[in-house]
Amino acid sequence: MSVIWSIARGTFKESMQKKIMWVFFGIALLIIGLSFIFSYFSPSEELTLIKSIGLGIIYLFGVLIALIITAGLIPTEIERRTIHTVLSKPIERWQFVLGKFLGVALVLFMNMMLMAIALLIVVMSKGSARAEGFFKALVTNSRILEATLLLFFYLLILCAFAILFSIFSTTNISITLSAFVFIIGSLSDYVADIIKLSHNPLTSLVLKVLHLIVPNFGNASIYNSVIHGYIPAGEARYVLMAIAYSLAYCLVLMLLSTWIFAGKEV
Amino acid sequence: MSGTAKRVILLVLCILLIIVLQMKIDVYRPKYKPGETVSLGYISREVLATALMGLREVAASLLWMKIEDYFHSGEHEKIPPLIRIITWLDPHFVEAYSSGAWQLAWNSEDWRLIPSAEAFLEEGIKNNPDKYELYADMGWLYYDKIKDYDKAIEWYKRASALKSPPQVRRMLAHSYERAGKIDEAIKIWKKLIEEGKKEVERNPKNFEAIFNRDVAIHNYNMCIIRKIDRAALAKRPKPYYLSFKVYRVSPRILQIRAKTNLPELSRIRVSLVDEDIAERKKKSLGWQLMNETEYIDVWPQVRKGEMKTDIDLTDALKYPLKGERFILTISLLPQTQPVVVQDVLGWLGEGMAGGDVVVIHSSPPKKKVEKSAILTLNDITGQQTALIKEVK
Repeated sequence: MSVIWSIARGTFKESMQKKIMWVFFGIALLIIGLSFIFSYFSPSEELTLIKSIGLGIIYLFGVLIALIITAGLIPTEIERRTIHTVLSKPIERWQFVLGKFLGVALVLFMNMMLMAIALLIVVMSKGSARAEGFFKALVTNSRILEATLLLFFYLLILCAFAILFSIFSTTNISITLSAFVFIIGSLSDYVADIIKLSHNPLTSLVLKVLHLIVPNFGNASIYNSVIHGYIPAGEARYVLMAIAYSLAYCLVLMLLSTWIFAGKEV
Repeated sequence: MSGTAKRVILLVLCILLIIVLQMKIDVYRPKYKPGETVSLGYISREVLATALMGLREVAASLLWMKIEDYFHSGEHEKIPPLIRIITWLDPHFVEAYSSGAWQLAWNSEDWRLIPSAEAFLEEGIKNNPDKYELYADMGWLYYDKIKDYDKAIEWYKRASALKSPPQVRRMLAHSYERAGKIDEAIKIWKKLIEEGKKEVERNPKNFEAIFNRDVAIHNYNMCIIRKIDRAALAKRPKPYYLSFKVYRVSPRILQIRAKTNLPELSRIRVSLVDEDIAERKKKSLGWQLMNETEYIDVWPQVRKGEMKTDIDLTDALKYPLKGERFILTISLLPQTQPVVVQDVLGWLGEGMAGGDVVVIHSSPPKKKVEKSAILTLNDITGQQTALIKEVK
């Protein structure tokens, strides 16, 4: 375990030194911070806009950070030949892959949570705290953190895909393939609706299978309820199931990655 | 068992777990989705692309900002279709429904769009049954625009049954008052006074609570005074008369001149519709103007015993005048009148009897003054200036 943790820490430090990540992070914070431009809307509209755009920015920049940081991890090690040094030590290949994954997960978690806290501060400072009282407003708006946490778990699936693709391809191809998976996975939520509209049993069956197998990034989206301030019945159960889904998906992808990486000549 | 076999089994188990979880998640998913996937006919590709990436709310918010631009640049006609897209993207965007209905019913200044505003609010309520705002908006639509106070009461009752601020119940009380159900209004004012006093005791520096209490006290007192004064009106009702002449000033421009002894500042309703409007009228959310059946609905005031208003139908696109015969109605319903006029006529016409006053058999019974005339297409579109109708 200490080996995996060492690799994860190394990956975390290395990723934090990448300028591109800080550029993305900075832009995201800037956009969230600039939400005061909505002050000409009525208070409820203003909060709706801030929350929706804020969560959208967290999601979008989370995707960018996940793709760009993760896809380059293993190909860079191979190109620089530093992988030989690492694997010459008593480190199993699966430990290397898992360590890389955990490292990038830490980077993503830190980035997304900092963005979510920035959004929470903006929302609280926009009168929400004054209207409801500080603690009540904090509890109500802490669902921003809950929504971000769920997004984080689903972006882990994207990271796992990026690692899987990067094992047998270049950084650019890995980014492209992962982005493709992300787009397809984002459509899965709508496929569920299309199944209901379809009258052809064969089409329905094919769509149903696709819907159940393709990673459904739509599961991560609870932000409509966060933006408009309603809590659907059985929320805790839903969130737990959605997290379990993402972890199961990550496990499948990690198994495949370690399997392929074990047989790869480096 | 070999390592490979174990891995394969683990993989298969995980995939099965994913499938089972997704099936369970699908049961809960509709509660979190902005809305069902439905076709809208026309929508820009950029918005659709954003929407499909799971960012429907962001797209809705960006469009909402565009509406602000259109509003301030005076391009109001572009707003309703955009609001339609916003509510399609995010049916829980209550402000969009609220604002859309206002654009249609009030800002458009075209009374023919009121049924569309009503249908739009109905859709909003269906998508957001737990939000008081849209019920209250519907109440205000019936109160201020349609002037059906019994319906306004229904909607404000539904709004006040949900978690809502005191102004919703204030409007419920006003609706009761307009509907002539004064005792019901007094009950609500009393309750609001009690609640306001308690709230002020709890928090003496809460300006909003002080304001709410004082408003309730003022309205309660006014209600009591009016109840006594207006009840006295029934003992000495007065006959009211209304006669009018219709002049054709130029083709498609009419002038209505009425003479009446109705009180100063009374608002007389002047409407012009197709004779067969009842058959053709449909409530629709298709953003289609009902411009082939309904034309004018204006509320000029009585000044020094006279009422004069011009009806301009020269915009043939807006007023195609496809029918052959039209009904011009001139009416006054005491319920819809300003308070100073109601002080003379009563809530439901208690101070009116005889002359041109007619009784509407409803519960409670109401009175009104109403006269109408049939105008032909030639009456309206003829070339020469002329007196075309006189109703005594």
